[in-house]
Amino acid sequence: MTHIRAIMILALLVCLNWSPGSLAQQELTTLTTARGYRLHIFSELRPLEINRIHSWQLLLTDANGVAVNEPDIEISGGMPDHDHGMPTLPRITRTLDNGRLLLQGVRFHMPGNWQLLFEIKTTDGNDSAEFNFTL
Amino acid sequence: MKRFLTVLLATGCLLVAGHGIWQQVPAPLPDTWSPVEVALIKSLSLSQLPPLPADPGNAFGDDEEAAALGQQLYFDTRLSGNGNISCASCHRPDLMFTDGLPLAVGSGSGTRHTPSLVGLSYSPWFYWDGRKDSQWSQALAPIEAPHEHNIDRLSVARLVTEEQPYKETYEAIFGPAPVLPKEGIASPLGREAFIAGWNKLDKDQRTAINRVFANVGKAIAAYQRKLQPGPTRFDNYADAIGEGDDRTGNGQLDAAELAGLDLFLNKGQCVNCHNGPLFTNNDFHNTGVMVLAGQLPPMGRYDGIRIARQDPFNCLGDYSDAPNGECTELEFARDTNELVGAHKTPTLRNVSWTAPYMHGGQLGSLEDVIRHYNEAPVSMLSHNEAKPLSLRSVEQRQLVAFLKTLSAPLATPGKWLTPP
Repeated sequence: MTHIRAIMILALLVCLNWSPGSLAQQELTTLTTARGYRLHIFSELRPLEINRIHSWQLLLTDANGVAVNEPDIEISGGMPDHDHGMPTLPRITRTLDNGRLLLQGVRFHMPGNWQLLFEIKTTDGNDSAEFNFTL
Repeated sequence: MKRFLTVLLATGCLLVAGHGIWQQVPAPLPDTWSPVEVALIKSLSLSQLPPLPADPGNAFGDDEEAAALGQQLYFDTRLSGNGNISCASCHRPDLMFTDGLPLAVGSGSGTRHTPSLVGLSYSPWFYWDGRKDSQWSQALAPIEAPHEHNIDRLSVARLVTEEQPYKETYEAIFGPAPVLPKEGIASPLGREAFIAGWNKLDKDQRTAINRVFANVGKAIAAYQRKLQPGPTRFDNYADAIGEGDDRTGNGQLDAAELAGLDLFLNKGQCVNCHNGPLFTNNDFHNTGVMVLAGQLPPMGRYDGIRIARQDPFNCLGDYSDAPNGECTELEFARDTNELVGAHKTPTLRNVSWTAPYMHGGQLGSLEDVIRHYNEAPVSMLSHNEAKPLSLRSVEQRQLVAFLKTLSAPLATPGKWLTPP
């Protein structure tokens, strides 16, 4: 019985295009970029918490909702109220099987207002999006 | 004219007296905490501390035998050049694993204040400047430092693999010990004689010594992971208070302490960095602490992260047990200019029992610390992240009163708090 259950779970994961990087990622927010594209952000932690390093996944779609192929995205930001940046330097480390970009090294170390900037380069040109939130 | 002067004098006296009274009179507070404040208070409770996460770089971190070995090593003065210094010399169990001194004193005088080890195993970074990324790796550095234990790596490796009470225990935990050079002293760090001896060894000998040395650190860290804080009056209050409750809650905190807690969360902005159940974000901030006499302004975390990246005993190194992908703190650490002069946020647990304060022990009392943050002086290097707080005299005393509610005996069983 245990074996049958394990096989069923495995089959379900395969159907869902599961990979280690996509484990337990939930949609955090969707941002509209300067060019009108949509940047979907998924997080390993939801709601976000302070003092826990974790990963996000990013998916960029164009105005028609079609995924943009492997955009180059850099993240920066911090807390304008305190004149400092993030405690880590998160970066995209790879593209996952589901087409999302894996962003590793995300951590926030203080409650308050955070402002993150996503600088995006695609074959169509440069783009950007801003994510403001309070922890 | 005379009447004008009289009125002027009386007005001046009234203003001075009014200011004095204003400085001393407690402000009235709302009867209840807001829902956000209740959540924040509960987030600080020790009951919210998660189970201690495994150290991926230390496969023996939660091994009871390794912890017992680590306890023996922790209290053993043979781990020093002069035979008088152990880890416990500076990290004293009777002082919450601090030493009560502004600057550490081992074989010589140090340049940094001894931080507490209590709850430290939750931190991803060690030392005031974060130059070490694991507790086991941190435990190694003082052994070779000339002003601390001042002993070479080879002598320590011989002690733990060839002498009692370690020989059999070491092999039972870590496996067969390597054959080490029978004589001489050798270490790549520390005194010139250590380095000269190290330069005469071949690669295999160095690797064998390093492996034993790393295991010494892993055993000591397994012991240090036992050192955890106990519940305080604040925790008792925080666990009992609920949304809509009167602020007095279960009566564990008096009026001054409750006012201090309010200041800690709001006007004082302390919770920005001293957050979570250990009252620290384990990160690095420049708060304009004065430079120590005779020292250049320290670069702090700016240098610390660069040292950590080059450390052969870091999470990514040959002696770490961490599998690929488990060193995220090191791999994604920030190294930017804003870290110039930044030092680690210490825990506030047991803070009233661990004076003096700051990375150089510059401030002798909690009153001095609150005064420092109230003024937020200009930093000599880079910028002070903190801003002046405009706390009145009574508010400064209330904050100190609150901080004194954060001390309690350790949760650690007594058998770990004395030499074995």
